[in-house]
Amino acid sequence: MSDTEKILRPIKHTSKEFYPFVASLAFISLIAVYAYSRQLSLGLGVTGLNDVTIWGIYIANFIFFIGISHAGIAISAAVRILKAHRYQPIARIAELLTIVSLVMAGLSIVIDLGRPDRAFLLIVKFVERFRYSPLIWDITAVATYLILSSTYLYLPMRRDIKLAMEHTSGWRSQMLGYLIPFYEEGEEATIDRLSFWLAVTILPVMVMVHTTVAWIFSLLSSRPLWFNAFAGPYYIVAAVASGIASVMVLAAVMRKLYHWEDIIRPDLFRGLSNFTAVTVLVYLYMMMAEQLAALFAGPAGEMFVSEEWLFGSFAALFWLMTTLGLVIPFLYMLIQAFKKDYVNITWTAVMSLILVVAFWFKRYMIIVPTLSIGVQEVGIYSPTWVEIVILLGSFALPLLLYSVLTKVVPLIEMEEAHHE
Amino acid sequence: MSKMSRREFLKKIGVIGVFVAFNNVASNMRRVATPLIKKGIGTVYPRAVKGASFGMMIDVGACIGCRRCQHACNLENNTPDEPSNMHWIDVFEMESRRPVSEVENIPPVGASLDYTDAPSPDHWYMSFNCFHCDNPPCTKVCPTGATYKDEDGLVLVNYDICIGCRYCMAACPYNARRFNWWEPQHPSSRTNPIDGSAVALNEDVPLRPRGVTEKCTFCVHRVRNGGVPKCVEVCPVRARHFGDFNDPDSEVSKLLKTVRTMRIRENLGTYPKLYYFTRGVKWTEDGEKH
Repeated sequence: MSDTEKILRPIKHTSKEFYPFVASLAFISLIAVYAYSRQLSLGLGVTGLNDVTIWGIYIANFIFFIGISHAGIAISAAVRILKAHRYQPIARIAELLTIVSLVMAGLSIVIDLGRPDRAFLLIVKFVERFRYSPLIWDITAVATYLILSSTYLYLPMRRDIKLAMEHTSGWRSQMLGYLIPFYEEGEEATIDRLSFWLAVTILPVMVMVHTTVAWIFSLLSSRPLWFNAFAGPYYIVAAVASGIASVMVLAAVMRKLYHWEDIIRPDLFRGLSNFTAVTVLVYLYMMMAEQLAALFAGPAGEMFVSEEWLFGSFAALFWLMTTLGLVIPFLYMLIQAFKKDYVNITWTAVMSLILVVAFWFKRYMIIVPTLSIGVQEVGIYSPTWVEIVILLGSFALPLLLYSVLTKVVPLIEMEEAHHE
Repeated sequence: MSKMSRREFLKKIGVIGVFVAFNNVASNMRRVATPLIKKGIGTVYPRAVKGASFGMMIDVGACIGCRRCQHACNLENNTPDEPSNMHWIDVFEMESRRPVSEVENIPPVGASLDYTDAPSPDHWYMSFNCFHCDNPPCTKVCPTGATYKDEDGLVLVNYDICIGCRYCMAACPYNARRFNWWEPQHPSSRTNPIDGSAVALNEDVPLRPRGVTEKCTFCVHRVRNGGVPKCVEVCPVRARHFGDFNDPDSEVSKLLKTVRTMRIRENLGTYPKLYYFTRGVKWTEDGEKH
């Protein structure tokens, strides 16, 4: 089987296991939709949120998915700008992840709104409020990022869809044809130029997206551990680490499922895992710096939150997240980096998955303790079933979208195949 | 696909697009937005008093923690009953041995919101409501401009354009804001907890819908018509004082000159317009005033 055949396999053939998998994802998403309809009809009171802990799982989800969305463009822009062609095979896997997670991040914000029916006011009042509200900056950045990255995903994909059209027949070919209106022979050169400059444009936007997410929190001077000048870089490091870790998980799974062992080579995982190890190390260092400032200097608010994190009611979560979730995967990746030409893809994927989960809990830790600390019983937040179900759904829905997309678009740029 | 020329295709797409845009999106948006734009600010409050700067001063030494202000406020401002159980005024019971610096945290460290037979020995009381800051952090972050500082210094909420993102609540250093987590319940008549008489809803104060924020308005409907907030009116020990800080003859302006005051978390640069003071009177263990 040629590489092209292999790459197009998911589009042409669908295994029996695919349907129950997609059906269960759809089922979970539907339950989440039901939970959200409860929230819509009864009010946000069905969540565990209260006047003190005003944000919870939904906002943690928002930061998390914005974070995941970073890896896609980071990888493929590196491919295009730094000419790191080694990573070409996973570029599109990562880009698709960017799109679905950005969509989920946007949804998380809407789910969190008390009046989603009035969300259009964000556009009506845009010009008036742009000078003031960091939330508006963030919505602008996310929207820009979504538009740019979906363009960036789509343009170079046209030639692959064309190629897929040629390799398929009947309705499949016809459906693929609808995806590329106005296709012209020889448009590739133009698209290559366009994509390069798009990549150059997207990189600063990518930095801005997560910086503005950080600013939503870090510009509130009264909130301990949010109010932080290095929040931007701090959030970006977490975003890149969790994003690349989730790309590794996806790439490992698809490599196995679609028998892409020759296309997605082990040295690629090695490179990604080394990079992730570095970012996790930087993140641990930043966390330590943050905690030291809070504990040693000890402004009342910061000290309360920090003590709650390290020794208080969030201690179990914090230490589990730090040791099991960050340090152990880091150590594994570090040891792997020192072994010459060695990489265990299964273990790398498992460690990456642990990292992703740990980073979700880190986002939860960012939101909840700062809001609920130093407060009596009234302020204590424990998520309700509605939130848990919506949380599950917010993982099922992007996965579902992703699974469907694997059946529609070629997941790997077929450049090499093209030149054969 | 190939039967249609590109020009034709574009034309068709364009016609459909224009049709959809004009008949659905635009008209819908206009239908919802026009009443808002016409009314200007949505929720209608009395016109702001020109040149005023309304504020409050609370005598913590005099406060006996009876919570009459809280109950009167609930009735005056139609705050929802169960399950929201909302009140705009929080009265914290403080242990007398705790230093005032611990009030810097909201709610204060070790303070209790539980109702006790006040005044209870060895305790003092600290009442919180919206401080109507001169430099309010909450209005800055609002993405729709639903919360704003008016010309007379009152920080108000336009309930009609609040989208319920709760960003203002995150920005408020004083936990002054409340959110309508549930559909607000307003029984047509309620019982006055003090004398057991029936009380109707106050028609001067708009009811809030579910999913928006609200907070103390300094009884905007009263103060802009020359009155004082309900909590000030009902306080049995005259612990609460209200007035216009820009008017040198007002009660609060005179008080500000004669008593020593403090504001909460002044380091944040919010310039609250609610001052705490005491004339050195304190409730002690034997329940006597000294």
